[in-house]
Amino acid sequence: MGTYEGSLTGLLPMPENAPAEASAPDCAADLTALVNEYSGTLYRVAFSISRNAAEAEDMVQETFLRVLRHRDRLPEIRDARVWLIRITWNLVLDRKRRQKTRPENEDISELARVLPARELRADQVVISAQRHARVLELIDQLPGKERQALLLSALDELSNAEIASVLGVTESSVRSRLFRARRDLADKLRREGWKP
Amino acid sequence: MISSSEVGRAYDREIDATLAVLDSVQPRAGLEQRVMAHLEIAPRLAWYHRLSLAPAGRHRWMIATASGVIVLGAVTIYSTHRPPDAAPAVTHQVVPRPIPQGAAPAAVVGLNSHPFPANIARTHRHRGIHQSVRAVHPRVPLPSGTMAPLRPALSAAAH
Repeated sequence: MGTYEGSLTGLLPMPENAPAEASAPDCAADLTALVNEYSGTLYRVAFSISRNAAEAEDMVQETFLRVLRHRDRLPEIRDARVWLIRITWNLVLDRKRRQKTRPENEDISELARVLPARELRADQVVISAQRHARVLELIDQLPGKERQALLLSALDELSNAEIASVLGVTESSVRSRLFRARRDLADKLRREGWKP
Repeated sequence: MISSSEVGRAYDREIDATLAVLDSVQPRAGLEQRVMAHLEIAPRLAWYHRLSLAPAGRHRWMIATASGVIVLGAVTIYSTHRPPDAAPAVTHQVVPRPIPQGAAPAAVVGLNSHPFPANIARTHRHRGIHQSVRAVHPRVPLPSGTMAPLRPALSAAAH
């Protein structure tokens, strides 16, 4: 048992309705495995909406706090990845809705950091990051349902069926939302005189 | 000349490139350790700390409901245990006006303490005499012999 599993064993009180075979070390081990495996994915999900590294990390921590509170449900979860993504997605949308004004804390530097720097000079990296930031601003102007489907589609690991599960809609609805989102976004780029 | 379909595909590539950047974002090193450290201390937090960390939506409703119940209970307890109303204080006493020397005593006592004697003849001709005796405070003694008949004879006044 690793350091974190051991530290969690004595701190996790078992809920009354927990099945007899789910002992505290099992729950702690499951939770640690989830954290190690999905933290990065959840971070990207949160960042796609918040565009801020600190907020995205907060959302990841809040997600696993929720999982800790509902750890008795872990054995019932068939697809932990989609379940966790749905929790993170709802949390970050709630926080976004509570923000009255558009935050001034979007991290263009974060976008610049992940660009393939070996092909571009430093000034080209900055210009490229600004172009991507502008496209993201236009994505934010899309209708809510289309925007959410488009941002979730950015994650390679999510299929249309899984996106539908996260959003609580049908797969055909996801496809039509993606089509409209791309069409509307292309129109916006064309109106801005965007030169691809 | 670039066809519209090629322009459309070019825009699609631009959109895909931006979405790919979102998919490439990585957290700061050590995110897993920070999350586990936070989970370790979470059960030790006092309930009010956990409340402050929790999303406000559901807990805000619980706090509002609990506050309403407390206020309602306090109002109910106060209203059921309120002390009984005390006897109202006497704020106004009707004291009969003293009869001046030499003046005929008023035929009727307590007619609103009016300084002028009632115009009995006139009122008698038109409507009859309406006399009322105001109830004076029981502690104020009435002068003897001052109680007037309620209905004097009409025939005597008409003649």
